[in-house]
Amino acid sequence: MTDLARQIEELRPQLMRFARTQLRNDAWAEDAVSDTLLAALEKPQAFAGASQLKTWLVGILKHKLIDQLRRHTREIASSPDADDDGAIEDLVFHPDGHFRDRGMDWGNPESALSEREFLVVLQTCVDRLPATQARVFMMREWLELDAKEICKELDLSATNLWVLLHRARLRLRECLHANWFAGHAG
Amino acid sequence: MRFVTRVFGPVFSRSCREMSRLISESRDRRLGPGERILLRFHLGMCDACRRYRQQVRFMSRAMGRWRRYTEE
Repeated sequence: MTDLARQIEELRPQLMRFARTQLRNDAWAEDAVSDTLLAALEKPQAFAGASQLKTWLVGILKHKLIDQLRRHTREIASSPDADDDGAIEDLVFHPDGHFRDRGMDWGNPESALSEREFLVVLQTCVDRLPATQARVFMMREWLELDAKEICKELDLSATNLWVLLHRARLRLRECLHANWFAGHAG
Repeated sequence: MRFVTRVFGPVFSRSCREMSRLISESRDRRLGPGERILLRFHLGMCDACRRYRQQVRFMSRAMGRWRRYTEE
């Protein structure tokens, strides 16, 4: 095994971790990562060494993740989240439409961004989202696709996508509050 | 502001449940002129929704931080 091949192989677990969060399916994640490593090994000259190896691999992985999502559009569409009835909205809002917890103050949250531990909490919270919400949220905020592209790839209506993203944000907010800010704010 | 609220309140008043949806959607699409007026009016008097808007923006920055961390 060449040196580059070994270095690439060493990054597999990190790529897998991310692919699982995005795809929410181990077999698809395995395929996306294998395709990524194969593509990298087929074209080692594309890695000029200018950027970091990991940056280069993550760049390839993004495309492979979208390939997987595209390939499994139908399965994703046919398995809607169990909470499609908006349970999170009923949890967050009073029947009169006001926020139940008006005091969810995160103080100055920016300092959390430099803490490794906070990123672990963030990833855990995204993993706890219902599968479809997690996929669209990751596509929007991590892969940075725009709403139109996501609708096209997953065959969703725009309205449906906006609702899913809003519910993902409400859930993520609850989770981050409970697992970080309730104990750290101020 | 009090005068504005008294006169336009009944016309422009919307629930946080509805406005929080617009706050989220403003990240994903361009709001229409009417929606922007409603939201602005609501945010002018609602701490909880202003806070939600900050949290939505913060979560987006946090995802960006995570992405850069993954690539580093």
